[in-house]
Amino acid sequence: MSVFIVMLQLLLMVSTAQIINQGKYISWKPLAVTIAAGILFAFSFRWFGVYTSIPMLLGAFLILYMSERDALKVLGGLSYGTILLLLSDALVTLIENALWFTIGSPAFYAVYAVLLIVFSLAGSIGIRVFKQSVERKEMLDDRLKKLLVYLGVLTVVVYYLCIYLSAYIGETVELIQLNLFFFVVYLLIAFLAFYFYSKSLRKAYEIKQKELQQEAMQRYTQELEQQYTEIRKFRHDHQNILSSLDAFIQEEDFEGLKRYYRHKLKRASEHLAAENFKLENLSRIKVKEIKSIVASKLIRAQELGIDATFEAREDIEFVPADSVAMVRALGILLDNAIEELQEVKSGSMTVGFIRDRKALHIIVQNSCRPDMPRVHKLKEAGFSTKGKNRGLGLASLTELIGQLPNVVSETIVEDGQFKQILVINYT
Amino acid sequence: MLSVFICEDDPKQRERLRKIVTDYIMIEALDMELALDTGDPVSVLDYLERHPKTTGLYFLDVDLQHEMSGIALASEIRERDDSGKIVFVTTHGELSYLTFIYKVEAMDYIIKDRPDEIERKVRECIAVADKRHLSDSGTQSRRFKVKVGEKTRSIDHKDIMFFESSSVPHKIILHMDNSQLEFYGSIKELEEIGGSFYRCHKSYVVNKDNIKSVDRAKREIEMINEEICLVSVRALKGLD
Repeated sequence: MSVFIVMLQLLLMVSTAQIINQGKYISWKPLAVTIAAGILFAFSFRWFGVYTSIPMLLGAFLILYMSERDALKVLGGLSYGTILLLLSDALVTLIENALWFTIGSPAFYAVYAVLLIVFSLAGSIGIRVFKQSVERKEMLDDRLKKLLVYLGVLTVVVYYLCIYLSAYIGETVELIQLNLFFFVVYLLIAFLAFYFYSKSLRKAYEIKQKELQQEAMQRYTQELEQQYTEIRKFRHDHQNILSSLDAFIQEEDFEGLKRYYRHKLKRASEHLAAENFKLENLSRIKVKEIKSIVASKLIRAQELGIDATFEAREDIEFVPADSVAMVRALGILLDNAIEELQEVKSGSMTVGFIRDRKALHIIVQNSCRPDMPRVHKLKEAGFSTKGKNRGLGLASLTELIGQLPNVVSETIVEDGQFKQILVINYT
Repeated sequence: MLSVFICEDDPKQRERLRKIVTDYIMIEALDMELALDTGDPVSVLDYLERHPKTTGLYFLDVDLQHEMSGIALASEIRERDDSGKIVFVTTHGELSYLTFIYKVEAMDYIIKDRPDEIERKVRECIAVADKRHLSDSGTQSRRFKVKVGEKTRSIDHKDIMFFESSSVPHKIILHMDNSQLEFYGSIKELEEIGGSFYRCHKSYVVNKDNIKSVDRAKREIEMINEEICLVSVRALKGLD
């Protein structure tokens, strides 16, 4: 009977971890390995007793690692799955004890197995849903994720130490109760501490973002002032030009007028058209966060000597998506464009916000190298045009956008242009 | 026959455009006529109401000194004349390249500030529009229609590699030669396109015409753009 229970526990360990990590469905191969390993561990239970859990955890880790290849993620899923399993184990034992089942009877094991499956699976689905909602809302950064994983692993270690200790002393129902009680208290304290820590981190992050935003707005204002000076200068010239024209006409010197038009006026108007006003439409974005990210990146691009243009014909009063996610997405997109243009050393970029009745279309378009990898290559996870582990690839952008249900994206490479379009539907 | 429209509020510039257009049509003996030249956007729409089967080439000024801008006019024209060719005539300052291309799928634009180039550009646009009009009416290929915002995109079946359901519910990724487009839908309804489209996996519908090779051992299909699409054991049979 205990053989069956050990096997069941291993299966649950693997599957809860898999559920929490939103992994793929377990295919036949790892399942077979799990069952085989389960049988092996189950028989060693006779000799090792509760210490079988050590090889069990290692085994589960290896099985998961084979399909996932991300040690941190596996560790996180496995530790929280295990915590859940241990909690349900203690809970089920206590419930059955309260219901006067005799420990060790077939009925006890049957009820134990059913309840254990129900509790741990339900719990892991709960954690998964919770995790998804957290990810959608505030996006844990990598540091916090790591911390959360370590917290989970540490908790498992502490709990197993308690179990081994109680096994050493001799397991009684009171001891299990006490264990469970301490453990729950420990968990609560740990998570409370974590909650406050993450909150303070978030606050610090927000302050930093605000500062960056402030800085971007500052530069934008400077840019505006410069343009205003330019316009004032033109207004001054304009007066002069008019009086010159007047003079030519009064003297009926049409040859002189012609010459004046060709040499002076035309050039002045060309100068006016060509430069400096490529970002004037930024004032049409009324959403501060969005305006500041686009302004700061485009101004930086211009400072780097890149021909950068912004266009919007209508006021953008609001962006119907989470602004934190949108700012990050735009940051990645614009950085990618700037990096690519620095690589090709020439070419231009254009950013457009286009509104229609159903959606806001954000377009980022830039010249790219002629041997640009194909779109499906660019979208592969971990792919970057700048070698390993550098830059944030399109894959992470896709992941970020994927979280937002009303946003769809389009990626096109054609005629030496790379185009990325985000369509944000008004809902 | 292609009908040419000119909508420009400045009479001088309108006259100039009119002359370039009529001269070019006459010299090249093209199957086209100047249907209307006006400064009033509403009269263009009136014309289209009266002649609903028109396919046009439209030269539109962006700033019309009218409550309806050239771009708004273009959107209205699009709704009435799906395959019309739109060319914007604009000053450098009014140039909104992305809006022209994405919002109204304009064919081209002409910059007024460079008077010496206007004539050359107008002629070029007429030639291109004529060529496209002929090829449009020649081939009636099957097309896949998809909504993006308020716009309906129409994609030739032969450009489609495969459809893939995304990890996010209700989002489908349409894979083409060198582009990917996401839209809302379900694999199940795509299965019903029929023709060369085949449901080869629980999350893929492949265009059989664009398959390069099938790796039966790995259960993968390589498309002509070297992209890989998955195939289930059961669906392998249907690929023979």
